[in-house]
Amino acid sequence: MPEAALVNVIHGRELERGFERSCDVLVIGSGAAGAVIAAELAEAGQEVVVVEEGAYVPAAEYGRMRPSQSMRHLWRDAGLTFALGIGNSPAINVMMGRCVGGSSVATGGVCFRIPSAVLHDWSTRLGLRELDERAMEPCFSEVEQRIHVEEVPVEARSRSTQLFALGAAALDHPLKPLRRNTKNCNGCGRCNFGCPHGSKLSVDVTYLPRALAAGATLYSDCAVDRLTIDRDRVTGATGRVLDGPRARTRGRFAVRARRVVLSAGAYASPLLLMKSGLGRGRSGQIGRNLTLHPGFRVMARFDELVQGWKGALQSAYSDAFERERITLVGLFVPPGVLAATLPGIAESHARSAAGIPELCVFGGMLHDDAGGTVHSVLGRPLMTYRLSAADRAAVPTLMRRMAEIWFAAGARSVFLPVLGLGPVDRDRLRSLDLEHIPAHRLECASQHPLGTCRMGTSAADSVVDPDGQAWELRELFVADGSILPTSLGVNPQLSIMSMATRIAWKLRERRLPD
Amino acid sequence: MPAVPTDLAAAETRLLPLRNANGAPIVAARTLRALRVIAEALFATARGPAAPERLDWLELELEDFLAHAGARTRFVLGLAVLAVCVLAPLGVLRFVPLRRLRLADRIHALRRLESSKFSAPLFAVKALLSLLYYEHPDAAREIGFDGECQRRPS
Repeated sequence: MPEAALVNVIHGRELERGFERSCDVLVIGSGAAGAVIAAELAEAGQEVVVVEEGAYVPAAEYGRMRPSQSMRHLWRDAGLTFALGIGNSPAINVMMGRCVGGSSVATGGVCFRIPSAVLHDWSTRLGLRELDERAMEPCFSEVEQRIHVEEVPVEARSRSTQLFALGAAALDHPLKPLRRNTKNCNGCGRCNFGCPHGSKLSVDVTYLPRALAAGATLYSDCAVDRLTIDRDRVTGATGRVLDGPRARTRGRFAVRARRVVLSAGAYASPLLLMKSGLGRGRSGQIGRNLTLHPGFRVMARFDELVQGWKGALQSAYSDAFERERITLVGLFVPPGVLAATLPGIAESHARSAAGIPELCVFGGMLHDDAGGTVHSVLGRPLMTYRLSAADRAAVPTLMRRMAEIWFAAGARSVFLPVLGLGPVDRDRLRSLDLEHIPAHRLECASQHPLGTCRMGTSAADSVVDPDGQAWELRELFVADGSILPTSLGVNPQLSIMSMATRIAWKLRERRLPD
Repeated sequence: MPAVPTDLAAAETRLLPLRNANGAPIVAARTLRALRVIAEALFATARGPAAPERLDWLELELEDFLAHAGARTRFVLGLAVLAVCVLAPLGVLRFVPLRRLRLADRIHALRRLESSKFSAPLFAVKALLSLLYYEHPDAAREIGFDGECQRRPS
């Protein structure tokens, strides 16, 4: 598939002033879900306008950036958004895309279908009968075909992942290959900073070109402030045209729409609903039930040259510890980020950093309970997160399991995700009291905020109905990670896109209001 | 297609002044100075502090990065920098700002802070500095990172 440039994006930062217009469907957000909605509805003949808060950075440009430049231009808050830890929970660095293409540009491209056990839970315990495996199958297949989901071949694995696989196999937990939305990947290990070779088929090079070819209009640098509402029905949205990354306002815009689809993600979608006056005196669920898949990386030092950045960024995983709420997923991070976690100042730091080519990395994430909330504080979002007791108990288990795998592979020492803790050898691991490490010393990150406008069968305990329509407002639909009713335990990109496909197909059949 | 937004080039060419609407710098000069003082110690080697040119480059990168990071992030980072500058000298019983310490004393003070229970602000600052510092081609080479295939050819 050729790398497509979105030649007709309207750059808000280049507009002289604000604008007003009307359309059939306004899509707020151009990420994994918004792009699917836009393409499906535009191809069905509906007049679609997409507004995106972030900038449009063509693939040819983000492919030339250094990792920190990608963070500046593609990620929200330059990658420094945090969820405040409540109680015995660590602060969690939550990374989200803020650009045309959203987080699909800034992920490793890992594609999992919604696990069978999760769908079974949704369709039985939660009563979401249409969300069973058979009903979702066409949605999964459609997205997988559109973004070319393929298995990462074993030979594409980095040496870091190969070594982890050796250790896992030695302990009888063989790794499984991951699937990703790639084509002709050459394994340069930086997918999450924007693919430099156009091999990752994120929505900016797949769905959005389709949407625009079918007549949709896409505005970048346009932040929606409020939904406009007429009695019990949404009628559009208003917002600001931003002047580049410093977010100064160039002017205001207003879009009148017969239908609005909110696809701003689990962080921004609930905030917009709250700012628009929803959620007061109703279920109180908007912004709640945030799940993050809190992630921890465990590094290991080997007596060989590893150069873990050579190979596919993410190529293998293990669900052997799912009963303990843990999924292990391969990854690598830029040397500068690795250096940041190494102990030492001056010479001791330089010595640690010089050993980076011998370092391996693997990640583990928790299949967490809904412990977080997105609050609106003076109109600005604030995330808080409390690990449940079971999730908190799983953290030391995760560290121990991963360290044991590294040692089984022959690691000299491991670096646990504990701030200030130096290298740990096999003997020290046995004596470490991991259960009592204070939360503020845990180094934790997430790329998977979900669940803050969850889907359900009753307005009393959910925000949207099984078709994605908000209980509180007619013709307002939510389609993004925020509607997932529970945590998945796996990377959510394909799940979000498939759920969006399902909603889009329903909207195609649903008559637009006058 | 319009040209690439000019701010994308800022980190490379610094053509855009990083100032807000009223003309004031987005990133406070004192924050940048304090970060440089910490970086001098953090990246020092047996030969002395990191090369001034590399620290100049780091300072420019810091300003551009923080300008994009948002006001709240800048505020929190500013607090972390302040905490490091105050706590580190206290840890070695010196009652002066960090910048007043000689390099060797600064390194000693930061080492002491890193091993104390008040180390969290230092980790935050160190993470940001390391992320940017090791992107300098010379620094990347020193830690064995070629990164050749990681960037699209111009």
